[in-house]
Amino acid sequence: MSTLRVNDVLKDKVLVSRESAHLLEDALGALMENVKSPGAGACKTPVTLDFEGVGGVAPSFLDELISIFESFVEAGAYSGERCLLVANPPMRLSLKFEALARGHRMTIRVQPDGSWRLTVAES
Amino acid sequence: MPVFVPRGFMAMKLTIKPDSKTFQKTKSFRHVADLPLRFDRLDPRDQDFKWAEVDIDLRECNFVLPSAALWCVVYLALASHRGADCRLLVPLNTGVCVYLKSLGLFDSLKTFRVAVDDRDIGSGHSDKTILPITPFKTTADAAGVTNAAFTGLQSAGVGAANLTSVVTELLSELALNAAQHSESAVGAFACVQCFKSDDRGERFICTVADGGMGVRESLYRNASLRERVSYDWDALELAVRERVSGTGDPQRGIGLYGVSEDVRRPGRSLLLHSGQGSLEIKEDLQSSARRTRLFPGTLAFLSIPT
Repeated sequence: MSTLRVNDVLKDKVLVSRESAHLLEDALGALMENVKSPGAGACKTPVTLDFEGVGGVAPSFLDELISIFESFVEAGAYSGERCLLVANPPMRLSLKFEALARGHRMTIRVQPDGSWRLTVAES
Repeated sequence: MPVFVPRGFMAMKLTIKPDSKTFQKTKSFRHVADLPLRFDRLDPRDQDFKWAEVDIDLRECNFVLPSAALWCVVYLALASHRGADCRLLVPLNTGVCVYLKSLGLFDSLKTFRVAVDDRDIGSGHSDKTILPITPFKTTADAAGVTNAAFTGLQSAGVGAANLTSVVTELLSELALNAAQHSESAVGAFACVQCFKSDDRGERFICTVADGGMGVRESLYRNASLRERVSYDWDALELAVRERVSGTGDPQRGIGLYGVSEDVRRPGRSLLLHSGQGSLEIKEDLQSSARRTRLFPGTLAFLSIPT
């Protein structure tokens, strides 16, 4: 599995602060390590953050979560696809989230199933 | 006009009451623009604010908007913090008093040792109040305020379902800004209400205020912005642009930009007021920063139709 159910770790209905994003750090790190390990067989499977059950997400929270993802990638702890899926986002994709992705040199697209795909932009 | 009453050797009493032409017509206290001009020099954040007594007189008011109510909280909390004996003279109109009590104005002030004579005012809950005036200081508090508003919005059952996340998302960013950047000696305050008016219909009103350094001072801390923030009003214009932040971190500065983009939709509006500057953003209004009366800190007033 390469999916982290955010609501399993964070019980708040609305996820707001950068500090609370860090409460997902261990779970996200373990997930990315799992994707990297031999035999996982899913190195091309992007990591998915599933927000089912979450009522709202502040940009600051998501921004910090992406930074944590990036730090794992940069540390070599992950060799899967360099993109992040946001499943069941409780909010509409708006300009601010696109701006947030740009800040990480990522693009953000809505998938047919409503999830968001954040991909590292080609340099 | 402020009333200066000598009391003893150096002690003075300051009485502030709304007094604009609009106020005289409507008896509605909407925001600090309804206050006398001289009051701009009486900033309770200043070290030299040495009034022994400060009264805010709302006795004539027949309506008080949350933006004005939060000004009362911030001003009196700051004045009390400076050592003044503070008092709120509540409206003579009992209905307005009941509303202000349900909004949490009186209890908020009492926590700052402000005297409020609210005797015999019922404590009935108002359906209008989703989140009463709630103090917060840290980002964790801001998260708590946001989640309390989310719960209140869900139980109120007002407006389209998707608006709950929109309102809480916007509130969260405004509250985070106050917690992270204001360095307010008296913390910050938020409230959410659902208003119905004849001319604008039913709307969510979110108000966040702090008694901190203000947007200009916050941006001034970023050396690369110093030349561009000569006044409160041009600091506000800059603050709502993408990636503008007092932190200097190139990945920050999405909060106010995001809020301002989200309010550029039919019927929505955002009023930011910091120091002597204010900025209003609407769907059809790119920017209207102006010089106005002093708010000792920063206030954000968000309006979203249900």
